[in-house]
Amino acid sequence: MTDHDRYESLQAGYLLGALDAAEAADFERHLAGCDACRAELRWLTPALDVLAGGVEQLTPPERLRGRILGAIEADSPSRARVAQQPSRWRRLGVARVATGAAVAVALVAGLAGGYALRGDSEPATQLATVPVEATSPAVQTSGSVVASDDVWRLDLSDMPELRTGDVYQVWLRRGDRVSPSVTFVPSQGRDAQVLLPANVASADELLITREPAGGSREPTSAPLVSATLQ
Amino acid sequence: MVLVQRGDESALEILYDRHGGPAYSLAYRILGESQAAEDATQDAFLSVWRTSASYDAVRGSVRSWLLQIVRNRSIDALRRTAARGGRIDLDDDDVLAAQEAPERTDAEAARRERAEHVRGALRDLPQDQSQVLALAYYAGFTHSEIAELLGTPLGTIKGRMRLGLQKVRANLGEQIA
Repeated sequence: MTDHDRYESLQAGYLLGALDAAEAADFERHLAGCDACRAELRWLTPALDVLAGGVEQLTPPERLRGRILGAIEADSPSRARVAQQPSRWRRLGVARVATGAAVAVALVAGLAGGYALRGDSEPATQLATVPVEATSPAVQTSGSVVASDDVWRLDLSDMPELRTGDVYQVWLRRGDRVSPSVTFVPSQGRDAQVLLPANVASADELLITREPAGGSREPTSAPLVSATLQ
Repeated sequence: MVLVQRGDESALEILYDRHGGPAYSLAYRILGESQAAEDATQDAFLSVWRTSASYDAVRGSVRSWLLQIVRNRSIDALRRTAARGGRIDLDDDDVLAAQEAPERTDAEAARRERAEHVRGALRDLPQDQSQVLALAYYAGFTHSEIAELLGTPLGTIKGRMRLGLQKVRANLGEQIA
């Protein structure tokens, strides 16, 4: 067995983390000067995805999401959210344009139907689109909430000007309850594309407000646009 | 991922929505216990949050990177407790049944279907090869430990490990084609 043969026999063990510390260090020294071993590792690496993804797929306990997001927030003191404020939301109400309800699309129903028609090997498919509605004539914003595979996206044009330091914030309404979601700043002029968390699927309505940097726990301004999701 | 690297918490939330299920499932497969799997999954996401600057898209997808972190955290936990209790069989149908009322959305159903497909690819391996891969990847044994455990020469274990991983990779190529 040549020296290279010996290292070749360690390639799989190295990727699988099955070498002891001394062996792994020795292999890495060899790897630094061996194009063939590096190429083989590059080729083999996707096999780890099969091992990782080939386990029985479980639904995590609901509490895990909150645990992780709480840990992230606790780890980010510099980005602490704006302190709890009296709810202007309730005072302001949700000013929805009357026609919004008339053009509403059954987004979730559309998703379910679309998904059933999609094979795994097909490219990403746009499954449903819901228009956003301006909540006052002074706002010229147009756009839509787009569901495509398991990705939810918000496409917006002609958003009103933002004051320096302010952000837009998405809110999701379920019944009487409004919960904060992502914040964003238009990256190109007054247009924006925003990825939405998957829990948008269970919302009745999506709303957008202007908020201070970092976002707010409760809306501090009236909604500018809304989209009726269900 | 760029947004996570910029410290955008909502981007991490999206990352969890997309990959939290597979991450938790892998941790559960390794640790065999819900609380420990939650802890390992949380550790992994916190690690992604803190070390996102080290992510290099050229070296693989975010999902691959995350799942590798989950695997490493889970194996660390397994070794810390010296439990060695990770399941080593590839047929854990009882695990799913034991879970809290799962919400079988269409997306989730598709994910489970894909996972079943790759599990099938693993089952197609000769048993001695899949066993060695499982002992290394899911139970965290070194090849020397596996040789001792199975009473098999170390060279044989290395050979099975290499052949098994090459076959998994080759099957993946055929599926992609």
